[in-house]
Amino acid sequence: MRVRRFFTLVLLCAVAAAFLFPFYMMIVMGTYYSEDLFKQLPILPSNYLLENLKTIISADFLWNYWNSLYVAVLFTLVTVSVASITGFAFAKYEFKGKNALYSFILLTMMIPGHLGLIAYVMEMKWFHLNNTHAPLILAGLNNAFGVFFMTQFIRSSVPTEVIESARIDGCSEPAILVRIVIPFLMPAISTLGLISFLGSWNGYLLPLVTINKPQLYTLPLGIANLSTVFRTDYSASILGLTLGTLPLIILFLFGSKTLVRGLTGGAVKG
Amino acid sequence: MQKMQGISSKNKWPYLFIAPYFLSYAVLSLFPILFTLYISLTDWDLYGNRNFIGLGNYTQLFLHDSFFWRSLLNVLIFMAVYLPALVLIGMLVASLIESKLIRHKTFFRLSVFSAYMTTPVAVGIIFSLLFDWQGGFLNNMLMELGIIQEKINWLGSVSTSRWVVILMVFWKNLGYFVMFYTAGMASIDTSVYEAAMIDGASSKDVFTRITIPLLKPINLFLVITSIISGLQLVEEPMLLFSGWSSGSSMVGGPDGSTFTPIWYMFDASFNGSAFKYGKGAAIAYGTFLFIALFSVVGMKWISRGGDES
Repeated sequence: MRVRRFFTLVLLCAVAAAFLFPFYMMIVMGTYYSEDLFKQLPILPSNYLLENLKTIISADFLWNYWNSLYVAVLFTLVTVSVASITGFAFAKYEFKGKNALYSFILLTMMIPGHLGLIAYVMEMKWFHLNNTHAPLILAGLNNAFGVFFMTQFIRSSVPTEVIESARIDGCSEPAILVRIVIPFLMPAISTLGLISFLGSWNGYLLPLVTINKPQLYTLPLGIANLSTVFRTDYSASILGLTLGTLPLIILFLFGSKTLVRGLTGGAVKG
Repeated sequence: MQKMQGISSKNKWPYLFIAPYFLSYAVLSLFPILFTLYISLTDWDLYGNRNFIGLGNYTQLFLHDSFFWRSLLNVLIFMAVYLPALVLIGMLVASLIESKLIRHKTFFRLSVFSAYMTTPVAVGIIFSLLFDWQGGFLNNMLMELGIIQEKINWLGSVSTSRWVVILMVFWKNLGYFVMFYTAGMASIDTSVYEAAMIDGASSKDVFTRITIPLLKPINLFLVITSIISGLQLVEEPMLLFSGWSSGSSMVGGPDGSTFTPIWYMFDASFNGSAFKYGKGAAIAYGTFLFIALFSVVGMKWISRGGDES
């Protein structure tokens, strides 16, 4: 038993190391003077962190950071509010066409996200929304998974009696949603919020095809283009990469339990 | 029960509540999807051509375009290697983490999962630096240890660059699989295991006879979603060859060995001097056809695999 336990532990530690090693490399490489990077194996941190930091701040990097942050926050707000309202209607009302509409939403979850990309980009040009962040934020308006997730959650965790009694007391339907239902939804809102934030923050292809002004770039675009801004300064670019991953790591440390429950919840129960 | 929850069907509120979703779906998703279908039947480009050419783009794509078939073949080759590996190694790692012998389960779960959270851009760039020809960490380390005499151009040849992409996708997604498997294993009633143990089943029997069959719904979900996203693979290989490492700035990798259908769509409609929207739209729908096909095959395959056991 003890031998088996030892081997299991060693095996798992090796797996964990293989996964954490590239992150460690990334953090360490950001502290080097670029020319030294390829002279030796960069295993221990060096002393060039502040200079690299100055280099990337002098680029559009801070703007990219800000763009990503506010786009991700707005995207998350839009996704979560539309999903909550729609999910509430599907979970707690009877109305004509409800089952057909809900099946339709489930069906659209199977359609690949890139299918309509070309026409979406054209449409945004017709609305004169290309080279703005609107296409990135508007994409959150119809998140089929979000509606599915919220409907399931509201069905199972908001008691109908509470809604009924509020209605008898003369509460209007929107007020029921805001005052009675939303407080029940906090776990679901934080989970869906985290997933949405992650998706927006990491998105690359959509900003790539809708934005071509460097000041408007989101972080992934900015990072991908750091290599063309300073061709030779690898370590500065890698530091940019580290800083771009940092918010996710922080978010993840605080929200991993919620996130994992949200990602696996639907499939494991079903 | 369901009836009691609802209120009068004449009420306008539920319709008002679902209106924002369906209106925005119609404008921002349904219309683009249908309009892309229309574009795929034209020779639409940036220079003013808008002629309806019927299935011209599709016959060109399916009958004469070796790039399309190659990009499709590439993602299928990738999937054929990493999908079985993800399922097998994912279940194995998950069962190690969930075994009674291990403490600090959260640490192991999170360290494996951290790769899944990371921006595809970062994953692509990190791998392009690790596998760089002249200054890459891997080559330098192998040289130092005396395992190789000459630096290997990992990203410069067809087979090695494919392996790097496979490794990259595997590295990124293993944590996702492990998360699902650990959640699934944790939800299995422990009395089932205890009963099996009393009946004298070995831990290997328990794994193959109890754990794997009970994880079938999870496997179905993981394989189908992986097929859908795997055929749409684009950002990771694109960033791997985005010019961060020495001499690796090329479309599709060496000899198109890591070209993918969605990368091809992007390249045809948004990149360089082409801007052939009609062709790009046909690539999108052609790929969608194969996604639907392979999803059905995947579903059949998994359902049948369950009946035999």
